[in-house]
Amino acid sequence: MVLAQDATTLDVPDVAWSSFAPELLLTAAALVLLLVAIARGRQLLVAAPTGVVAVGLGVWLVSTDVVVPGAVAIVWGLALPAAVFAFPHRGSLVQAWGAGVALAGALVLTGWQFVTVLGDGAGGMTPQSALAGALANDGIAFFTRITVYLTALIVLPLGYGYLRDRRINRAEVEPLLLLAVVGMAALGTANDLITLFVALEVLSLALYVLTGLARRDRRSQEASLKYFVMGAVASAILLYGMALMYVATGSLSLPTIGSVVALAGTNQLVSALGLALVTVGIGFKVALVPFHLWTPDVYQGAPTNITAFMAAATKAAGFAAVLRLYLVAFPGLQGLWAPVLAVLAAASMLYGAYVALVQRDLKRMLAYSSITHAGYATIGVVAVTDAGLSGTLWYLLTYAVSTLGAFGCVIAIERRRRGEVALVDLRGLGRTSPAVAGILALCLLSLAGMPPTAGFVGKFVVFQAGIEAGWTWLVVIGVLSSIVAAFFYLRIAGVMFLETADDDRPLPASSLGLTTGIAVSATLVVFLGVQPQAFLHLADAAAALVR
Amino acid sequence: MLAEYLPILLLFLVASAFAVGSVAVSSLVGPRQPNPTKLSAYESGNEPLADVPGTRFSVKFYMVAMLFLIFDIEAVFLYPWALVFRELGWFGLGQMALFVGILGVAFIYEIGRGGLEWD
Repeated sequence: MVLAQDATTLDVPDVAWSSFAPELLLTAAALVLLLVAIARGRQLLVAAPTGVVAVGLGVWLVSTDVVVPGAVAIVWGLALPAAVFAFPHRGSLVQAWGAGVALAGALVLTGWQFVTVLGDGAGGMTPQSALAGALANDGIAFFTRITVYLTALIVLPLGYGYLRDRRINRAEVEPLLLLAVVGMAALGTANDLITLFVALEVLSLALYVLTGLARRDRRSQEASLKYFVMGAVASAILLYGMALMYVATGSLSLPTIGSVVALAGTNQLVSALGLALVTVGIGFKVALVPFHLWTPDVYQGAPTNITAFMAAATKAAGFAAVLRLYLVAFPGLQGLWAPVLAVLAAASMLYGAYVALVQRDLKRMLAYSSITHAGYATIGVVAVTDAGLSGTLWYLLTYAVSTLGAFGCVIAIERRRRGEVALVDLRGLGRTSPAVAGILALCLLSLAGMPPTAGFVGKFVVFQAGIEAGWTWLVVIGVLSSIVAAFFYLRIAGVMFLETADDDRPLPASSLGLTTGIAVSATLVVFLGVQPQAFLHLADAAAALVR
Repeated sequence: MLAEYLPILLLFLVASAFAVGSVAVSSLVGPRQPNPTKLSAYESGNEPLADVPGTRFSVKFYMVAMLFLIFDIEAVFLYPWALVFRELGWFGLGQMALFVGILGVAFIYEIGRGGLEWD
């Protein structure tokens, strides 16, 4: 009793749950789906109590005037048991619906965060820092969340039929996908080095497993092992760089590092060394040129829907970290890192474009094209202006929707080919399956940056930011590599529409999910190209950072 | 700035010098009277299962190792938490319940997938 009276309560930290509400929902969904995965015949035993808890939580939230998250919790709590009821003997369909509703809920919660916290009513943003500075709820976080959640939401239906056809539709796919998404969104919000590293590991570990999903396929095994070993080395280098940053500045928080580095008398050599090592680690994740060696093999070997997810979402999350690191923590060393990063960008654009020219395999070619696009996105980073920042965020969104559409069409073609899709397999596709060929051509035109598509607006904004910041030579290289890239994108279109095939049968009918996924991404490619204003405005507002 | 880390470097040097030094001194100075019991491998009082060099053991041990790691980390968090449990009050209890709950889901999943069955 005496002891109990002596005890003093510490100041309990105030956890701002709302600042990471979307990730919270997705983590909970991933855990529940893992339990559903092992429940086999007793799925209702897991789904029903979860539903009761979620609905109860939702009702409590609504009664305390937190209406939107409450409604999301209620909807998800009802959707899971409903899915179990509706598809009693199709576990993977329950998983897909459970994950899909959770991702849609996460998008809604992101919008709710914008309306209640970030937005200032006039379309601008007031950034907020949360969890004692570990999280920054600002423009980068908001835009990364949108890109990543949208990508995952499109990848789910794209991959469902594909995984079933290849008999790798294991129940762990959706939980791992959700965890990877949580890691990516957290990477976009991370405002200190530890959070950044943990987020990076969460997304990487989930992706290593997803890459090796087709474990009977040797190329998938190889891709997984290669990605894991090289990714682990990259993580180690990154961690060493972070340690050096801490030595030089005595802080883990990015804004504090930023203000310390700007002071005269700080040990600039050590912090620059740390920054260089961290650049290696993150350059690996986004596949910038000297650190890109894993990309073609991993993109080719991984199941195609996972490749689409990696290409679109990992790039967005990785660049979110790059932007925050350079623009928040190291604007003081700008004269040092901007030229280096510009050279990496130029090398990525040229190398990716020229090597993609000689590829015969479609997935491999798209892998090299993703290296090229990492270069374009970097132009916005080296500009070190608000225009460059919003340009990069916007570019990543347009790249995500275009590459999703392209990989979706690859999945549709793989249904006939059973495995690799080489360039010659596309001959005559324009005649036998005009819809798939047309959409593939559209997405490739967007990747090439042709006017009526999203890719054009993306490239235009990034190049404009580069010119304004005085990086004329870099933009010239960007335009040159776009011309080279346009050649191989257009060559694919030519093969599809101008050559004739030996095999006149159309592609087997796509599953409903695949059709939906491809249609949604194609619509987005056109919509973002014709009506970019709404999102461009958001991207402009996203230049508000926690510094 | 790096000079602050000099004591750590010195500690490393002293520690390795002590380890190497004591082994070297005992092998140089100590008496040498081997017998079969002294030469046999020490495995916590059990009979050694196999000769150490070149022994193959089942790959299934990786699961045990991973499980150990998970609960090891859990214990690492639980000790300091137990120390300040009173001060943290309900907040601490809730946070630890969350942490243990998430680990628990992983553990249930592992059992459900047969991770604890040897064959």
